[in-house]
Amino acid sequence: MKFAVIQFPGSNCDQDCVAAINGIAGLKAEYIWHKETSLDNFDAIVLPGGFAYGDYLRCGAIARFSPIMRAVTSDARAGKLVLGTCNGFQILCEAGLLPGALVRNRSLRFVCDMVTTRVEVDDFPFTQGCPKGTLLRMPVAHGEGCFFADAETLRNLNDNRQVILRYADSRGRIVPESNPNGSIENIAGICNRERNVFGLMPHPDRASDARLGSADGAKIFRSMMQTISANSAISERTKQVA
Amino acid sequence: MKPESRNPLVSAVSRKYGEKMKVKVLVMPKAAVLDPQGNAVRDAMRHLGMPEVCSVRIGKYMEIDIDGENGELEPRLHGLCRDLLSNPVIEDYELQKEKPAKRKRSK
Repeated sequence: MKFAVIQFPGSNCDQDCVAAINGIAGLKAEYIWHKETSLDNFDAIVLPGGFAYGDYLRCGAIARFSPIMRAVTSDARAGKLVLGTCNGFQILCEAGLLPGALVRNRSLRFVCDMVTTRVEVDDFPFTQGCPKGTLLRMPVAHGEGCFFADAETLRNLNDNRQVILRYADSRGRIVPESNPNGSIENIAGICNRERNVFGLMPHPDRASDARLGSADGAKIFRSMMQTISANSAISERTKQVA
Repeated sequence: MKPESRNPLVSAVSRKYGEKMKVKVLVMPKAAVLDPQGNAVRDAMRHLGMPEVCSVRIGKYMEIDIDGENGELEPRLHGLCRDLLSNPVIEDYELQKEKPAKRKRSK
């Protein structure tokens, strides 16, 4: 199964993502330069962290116009799994593939820390094997990770179960002290309505090996693999029936 | 002569239209969006002896020089203000145009 890791000028977690994905048996990651125009050969797409285009203007504002983003958008619309971590999340929001926006941390400080997030939904394509209430420990490293959405968007996110991760304390409580950046309702990760595009500020790529302090991030990549093989099994069966 | 007008493409366009437009774009965070930078500056102003300051909002100001005709450019400019220069989820923009002036003849 092949995952594409997009390299924008200024991406800096592309190698972490490729290493984390290749560390999982059955997965193979490849770098894709942002000037490429097709992602047909890939089963999933990962937009890594970093500072694409130096974060000039706004984080992700210029990267969303990179040539590869047309393919990311059309593949996302066709149902392919798309994961955006950190800067990748910011790019997905700027591109309109995810609702809301990420603005300057409330503290005005760049936060670089290990955080605990709580899984908010069951049966999500990116968190299979992590039922509602599961705690995932992953690092964050960002200056603009404060999630913002207007009241109506926020209501829709909650009503449609699109809030996937919230910052929690070590006992799983959603409290202001566990919020590293001032995100509304402690939101750390959301998905689109169709549930195949997932963006989160924490770095699963930097938490994919127990030697790094946590291997919880690998669960996300493994869950993507499960979802893709389940989906292809279903489409095989439909083909046979037809 | 400015260096960019040596570019044959640019000078061809500017000769064709014969006018240059200056556009100012002001991008401000929406009222509902928290502006921690503005709050920090507000607090600093109060500490520095101006307790009367109620609020500070910090946005962006861009100056853009354009070769071309005003009427045709404006809808495209608004499109780029929405798509690139501002993010409508968190920001409002204001486009201010200076009257197009005929380019000065070089001496």
